[in-house]
Amino acid sequence: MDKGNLLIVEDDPLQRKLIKENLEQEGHSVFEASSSREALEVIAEQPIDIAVVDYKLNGETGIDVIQKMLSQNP
Amino acid sequence: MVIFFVLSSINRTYIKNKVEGLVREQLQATAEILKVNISHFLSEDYPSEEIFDLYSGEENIYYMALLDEKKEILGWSSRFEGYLPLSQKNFEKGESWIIDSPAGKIFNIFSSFSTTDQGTYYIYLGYSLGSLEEMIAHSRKSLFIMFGIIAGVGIIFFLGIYQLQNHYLRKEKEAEEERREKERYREISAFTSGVAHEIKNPLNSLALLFELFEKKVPQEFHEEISLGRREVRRISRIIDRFSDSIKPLNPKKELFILKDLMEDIIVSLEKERDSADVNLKYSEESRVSLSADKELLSACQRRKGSTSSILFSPEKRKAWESGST
Repeated sequence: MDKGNLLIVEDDPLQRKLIKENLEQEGHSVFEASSSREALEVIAEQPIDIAVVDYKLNGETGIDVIQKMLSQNP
Repeated sequence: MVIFFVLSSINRTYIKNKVEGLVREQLQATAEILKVNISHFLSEDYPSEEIFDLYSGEENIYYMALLDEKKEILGWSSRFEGYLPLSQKNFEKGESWIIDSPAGKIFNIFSSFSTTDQGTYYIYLGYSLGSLEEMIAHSRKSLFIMFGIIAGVGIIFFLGIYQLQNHYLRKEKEAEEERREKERYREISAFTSGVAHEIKNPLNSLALLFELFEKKVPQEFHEEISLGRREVRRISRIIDRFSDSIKPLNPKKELFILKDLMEDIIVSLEKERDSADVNLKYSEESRVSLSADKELLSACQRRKGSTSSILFSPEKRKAWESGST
């Protein structure tokens, strides 16, 4: 059963890896990004159902990232 | 105050001079009348002693003398310690002068006149200026009373200003101290929340790692992994509490239903609690609406609930029963 595509936006590589692996264990297809630029690249190529975004990213907030993603892919 | 004193003194001197001038004019006029009267009595051949008796009742005439053309005294009367303060030197002083006496200032007039038979006489009059002295003394007393009142009011005014200034400076110092304290607290808060964030990141990683292990390793290791997860959660909660306690307080009043808040807290605590044996319940007799800082109350109640759930956990109960706590 397809559990949907998830996007993890997290600048800490270890946490990103662990979240990804945990969610994959639950059967999700997980994509990862460390910044808003990478996140926008992913959503340009993949249909994402849910995005899990860290609040504190390098030089930007999770809200900024979500706003950018929504403006590109409403 | 000094200006008042100087102005008042100038004013008093001016009034004194003016009054002395008026008295001088008045006495000269009196002397002229006396001269006419005495001249008349002398023309009528009245003895000079009798003439003095006529005027001895005049209260303000302190002494009086009649002199002939050679300035020899023909007759005199005096209330000035029984003598006449007249000497040859006085003739050079002019028609009028003032002397000091134990009875105060005395205005003197030495003036000549002629009778109808062409005889030349001199009259010497001493007129008491006691009333003027009294007036000056009264004026001086009034000045000192006024000076005292103004000085008193001035002192009260300056004391008031001093108190106000002191109060203002104290308040300003307190406000400055408070501002500095807040600034220091804000810096500590920012530093500690940064430290807490730095600790929470690897803790999250550990929590995720334990979660992953739980999914990947065989069932026999699950209990140990669960213990590890619980410890990580405990450290995380301690850090959260520490972060909350160090956050600067900025209470905001809002109206809310207490039961809604308490139920939210219980749901949140049930997720966090280590033991399912501890049950948290909230009940009230009637619905309570509160106007308070919701977040602050929530933090307090959450801490209370969390502490209670630790205290009443089966491990703690066992420890109490065995007497090791």
